[in-house]
Amino acid sequence: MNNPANKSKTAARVIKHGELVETPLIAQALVDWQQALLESGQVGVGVNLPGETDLLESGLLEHITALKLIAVEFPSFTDGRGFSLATQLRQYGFKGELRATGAILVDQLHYLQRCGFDAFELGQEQDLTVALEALGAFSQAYQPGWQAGW
Amino acid sequence: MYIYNELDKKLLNERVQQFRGQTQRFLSGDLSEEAFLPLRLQNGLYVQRHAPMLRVAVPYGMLNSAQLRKLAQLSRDYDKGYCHITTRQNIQFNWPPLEAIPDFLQELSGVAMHSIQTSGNCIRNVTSDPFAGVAPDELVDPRPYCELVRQWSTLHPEFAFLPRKFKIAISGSQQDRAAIQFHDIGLQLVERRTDQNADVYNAAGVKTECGFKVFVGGGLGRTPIVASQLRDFLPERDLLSYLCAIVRVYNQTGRRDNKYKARIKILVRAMGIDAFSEKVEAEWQRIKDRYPVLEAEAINSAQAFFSAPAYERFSEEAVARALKSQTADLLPPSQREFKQWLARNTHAHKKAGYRSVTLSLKPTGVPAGDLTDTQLLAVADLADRYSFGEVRTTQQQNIVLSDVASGDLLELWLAAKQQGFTTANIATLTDITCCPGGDFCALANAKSIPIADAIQRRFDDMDYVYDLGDLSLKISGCMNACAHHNISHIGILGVDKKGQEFYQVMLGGSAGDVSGAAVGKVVGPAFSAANIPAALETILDLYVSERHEGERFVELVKRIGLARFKRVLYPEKESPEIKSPETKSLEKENAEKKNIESQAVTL
Repeated sequence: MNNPANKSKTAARVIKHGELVETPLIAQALVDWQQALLESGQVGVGVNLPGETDLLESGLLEHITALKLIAVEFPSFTDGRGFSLATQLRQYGFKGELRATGAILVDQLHYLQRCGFDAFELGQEQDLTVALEALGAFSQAYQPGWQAGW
Repeated sequence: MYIYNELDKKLLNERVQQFRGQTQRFLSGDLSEEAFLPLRLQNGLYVQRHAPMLRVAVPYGMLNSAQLRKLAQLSRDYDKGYCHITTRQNIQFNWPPLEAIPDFLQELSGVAMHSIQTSGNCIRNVTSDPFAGVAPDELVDPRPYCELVRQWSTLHPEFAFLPRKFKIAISGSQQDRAAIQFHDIGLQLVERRTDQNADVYNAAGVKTECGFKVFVGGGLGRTPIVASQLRDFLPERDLLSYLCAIVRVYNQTGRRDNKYKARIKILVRAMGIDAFSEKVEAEWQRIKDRYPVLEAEAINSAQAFFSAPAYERFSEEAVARALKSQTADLLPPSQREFKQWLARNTHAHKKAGYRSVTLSLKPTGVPAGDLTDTQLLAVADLADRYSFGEVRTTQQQNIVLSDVASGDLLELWLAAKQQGFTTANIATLTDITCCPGGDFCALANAKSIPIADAIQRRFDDMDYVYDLGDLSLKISGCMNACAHHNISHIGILGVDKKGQEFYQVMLGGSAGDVSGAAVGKVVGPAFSAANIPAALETILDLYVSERHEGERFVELVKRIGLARFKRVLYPEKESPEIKSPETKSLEKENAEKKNIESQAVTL
């Protein structure tokens, strides 16, 4: 009666391209990333951005192509700043993994995906089957979306 | 009228399926109340005083007869046999049970209708002039642009979780009948001379291009603000990218810590229009070259949906003669009634031999904007017989038949009279705009419907009402201002004092239609419900005795100021009623006590 795909009690999980990721890339906090860059000139693998980050002032833009992962963290699911931040990251040419983390609802996954996110960190209480279904809520859109080049 | 294509239909169907799943998960306990809240709001569903309330979108107020018939059936099958026209041109149902809403929406989708984004912190239904396409003072028909904005904003992935609701209105005429300066974004269609290689010439043979004067940061509610001008001219091709830049700046910088300070009007006021504009222009520069532009082709194909109907050729003189001879057959009292109706409820038209007709939903004894299922069917029949099968809803909660041949007016009047649609009071004192108020709404501080009723009963002498001329009277049951009382010539606001209902009176507001946009001012201490009709009488008596020849009420208020009204309304210094400052703080207290979701349709 217990479908392991449903309500699994493991820690936060990352789904990407419709599948669970075994070993997700790790992102550094923005301050740590900035520190490391300052000290060693190293652009790390990934960075964690709070949804309210002002991209133009983050110092991130010039390193955007070197990063493999940017995780945008939503402070609450009603705080939609991360949707705009993701759209901007894609517009400025970020090609790596764009992961939505923090307070996100499975019912938001489709919109998140259309703003450029391709990976999603889900809480242990979130139903994976429902999440994968929600990703495909709409087959088309009125807006061209970031894939169309904006 | 716009006709859904396969994409529209598919998206709508998928939306219904999505909401069905969400409702099932909520009812089975898999989706929390908190998580369900924004999802149901974005489908127009509120939890209200008595039952859920569902707000159905009427894009820029346009409905066809098939849709009206469907709404009639739905109001019978899922509701108590009536619905309600809102001040944002939408239609509300007050009693559908939550578990039945997915089926309701499924049925609604069959006539290309939905409740998408009729509430919640997202871009709401675009509103416009109810006389779009037919008004003689129109420069450019706003409806094709409304439709393009509707598509752009519908299911927009980036803007579904804004700091607060977001409303766009578009007007294309000289007189603003869409209150655009009280919207988050107001767009005024304009033309300018161009040297570019376009083949568009205006009537004077000058090469022109079409664009928008852009206003931002207007709104009502507890902080009524007239919008600021953001752009003198925005070329039409850049409309969508520019809208995107504005909404993105708002999404990223609007306040989220206090919902009463979260609207864009607060942001614009805090930053100042220049700093706000700078930020928008900078963002727009970054996106405009990769953002899809509105090519002439896209605009042309949107315009094709709103081409003129198959008008017949009439000579004005012949029509006038015919109307005169028809009227001659009426008994004198009916003749008089018909003439009054012609004067108040019918309006000039672009096309010779045609009139627009407003069906009044304001007879005494009926809540403003309420329509029964039988009346909905009757409106559908009238539309089919006399107005090419289409109608428009208005911000004043009436219905417009936009294209009636003048020769049909008597026949139409007789048919509409049977349904109670011919009260000849359009744009007069008794054409009261009124929110559902304390009788229905969970947010209200006071009832509003009984106040409207008492006023209509007190002022039942139509000769007196006609003598007062053009007048707008609007009543809101709380400061969310759904009835737009603060942009009304006379506005009435319900307040609550320790469980007792009182009413503030405001004077001199204007939506922008004739005397420019202005916010009304509170005249003094609030009145009890029982004293409101008498207070109105005092106000109107002063107008009648002080007016110059042809001076309208709102102009008189501007000329003589509030002090004169104060003197006649409050002859003794010590009034037994509540003082204004106290009322103000009480309002604040009430608002803060009420931690209920905000469902107000405030602009």
